[in-house]
Amino acid sequence: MKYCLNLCDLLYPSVVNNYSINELIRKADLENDPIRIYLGSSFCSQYFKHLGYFLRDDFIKSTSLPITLTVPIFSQKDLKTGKNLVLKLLSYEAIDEITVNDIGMFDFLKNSTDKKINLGRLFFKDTRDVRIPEYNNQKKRISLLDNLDFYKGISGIEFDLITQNLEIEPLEKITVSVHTPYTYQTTGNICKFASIKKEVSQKFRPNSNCTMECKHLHEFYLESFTMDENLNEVFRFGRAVYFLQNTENLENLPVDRNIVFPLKELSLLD
Amino acid sequence: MNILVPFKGQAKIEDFINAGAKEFYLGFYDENFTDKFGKYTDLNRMSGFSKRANPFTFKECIESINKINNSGGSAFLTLNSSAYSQPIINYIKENYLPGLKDSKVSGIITSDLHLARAIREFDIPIVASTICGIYNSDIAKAYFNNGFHRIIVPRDLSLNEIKEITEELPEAEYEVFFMRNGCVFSDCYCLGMHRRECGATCYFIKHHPRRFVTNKVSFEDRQEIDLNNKIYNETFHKETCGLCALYRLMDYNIGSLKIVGRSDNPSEIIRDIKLINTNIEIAQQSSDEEEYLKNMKFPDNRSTKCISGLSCYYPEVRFGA
Repeated sequence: MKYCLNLCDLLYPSVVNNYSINELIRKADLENDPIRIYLGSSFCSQYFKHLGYFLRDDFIKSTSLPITLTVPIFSQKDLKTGKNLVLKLLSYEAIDEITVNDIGMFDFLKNSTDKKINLGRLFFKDTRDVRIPEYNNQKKRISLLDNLDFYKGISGIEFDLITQNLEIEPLEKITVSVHTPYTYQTTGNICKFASIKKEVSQKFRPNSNCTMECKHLHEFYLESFTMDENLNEVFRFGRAVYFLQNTENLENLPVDRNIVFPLKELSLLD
Repeated sequence: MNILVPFKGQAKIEDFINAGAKEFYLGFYDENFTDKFGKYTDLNRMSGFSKRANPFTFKECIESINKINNSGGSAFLTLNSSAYSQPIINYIKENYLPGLKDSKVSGIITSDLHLARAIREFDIPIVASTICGIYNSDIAKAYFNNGFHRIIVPRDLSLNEIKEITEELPEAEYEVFFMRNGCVFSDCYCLGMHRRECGATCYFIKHHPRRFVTNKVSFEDRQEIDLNNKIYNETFHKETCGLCALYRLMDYNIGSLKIVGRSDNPSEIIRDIKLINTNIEIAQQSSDEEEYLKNMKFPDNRSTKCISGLSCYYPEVRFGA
């Protein structure tokens, strides 16, 4: 299993503050050297737009590692802009593959790019819930693995550890990646943080434009989050709520890539 | 424009129809299914709330569909869990779809492209649940091309976005959320359990102690963060309503207005049906939106519900985009 560095939803402040990707790799301090970088966002089209406008070819060329561009779901008002931005970023040579998170973008890109296409974590919608230890300890198979034939031409799939005891069989010709150490439990189009500076009547509008308040703020939930009163790390970062998942059993799975999200190491950088 | 309501059997179908509803959605529970696939495997989005949300067995559900059909209404069945494995799809195909085909159900509300493949074999109309996450016209076209003739639009889209989607894909029928429950996350991508023993993740989070980690240190910044948090937790989407958007939704040719609340009291739902129906009549008699907004009838609890648009599905009508 190879390590990858997931800079999705984390990179923007670094771009603005002139950190290089190599500096971020050092700060992330992964257990093993990463073989690939992930940029973009799985959850937030506003973040993706902000990043996309700033991201320059020479910035991503500063690393020799190959790059996967992760694309969120664009709601209707951002669809045209989002697709144009994706095509612009795909013209960067360092980006050699793209991860999509909805079937509309998959259909669009399979006819618009020769680069490899992965199905992202939002395609894999099995229940996950840190609050129910009985469930989180269960052996569980990812449902969509039964129906990957539906998505002809994909190169890879990415999913979260929906329980700490996943069952996966080896897949031929498809790169299997997992997101660690955090599993996302919920997300949505309404960003709590984007509303901080808005007037009351303008707060909590879906997919509203923002000034990236998320780069200054996370929300950690204290005390026990689980029904057995064990402490667990649960937090809201950007539009998503994540929990720290137990990855002890990961080594036994036929997984090609471990996509590590270094939230603690790289967030709130000044 | 039809009004779609949840049906659980506590009130007579005629009471809903007389109030003005024409369409009903319902789900069922099946102990054999639970025995086979485990208690954490859901048949539909509300299975975790057990018989409170899904009071019917499959047999009773078919009987209810027949009653609805015989009363002149249309019945839609929910099979909209967030994901179905192939063994579950096979089970549904073997145990439920033949009976549903015979029942002449008006549609199966489903969330899953792969389950839809099986439903198509039975020639039953397929409705795209909000769990499909149809946030744009490209996604809408993908589902439509896979046999989903009717689309339930996510509740976290603006009116302009809904309008654009309907213009890009006019062949589809559309249903929008209109009364009762809002959601602070996406129906489609909120993947925590929705169960009696833990509630939904949003409720749990709202009532859980928290700590903000921030590099904003001024008093003013913290005031804004804390106030925003308080409004989000205590006021936002308490009991949601879309009445002010009715004129526009009629203009967009939206086919159905959805009242949610499979766990709610039927008398409250009947009250909402009557209010919507009154406002449909007012909208039909109005020459423009301004006239409608001036004459429309508000919910009884408008003094709390209508403050600052925080309980609006579509706040842009009264409070601007």
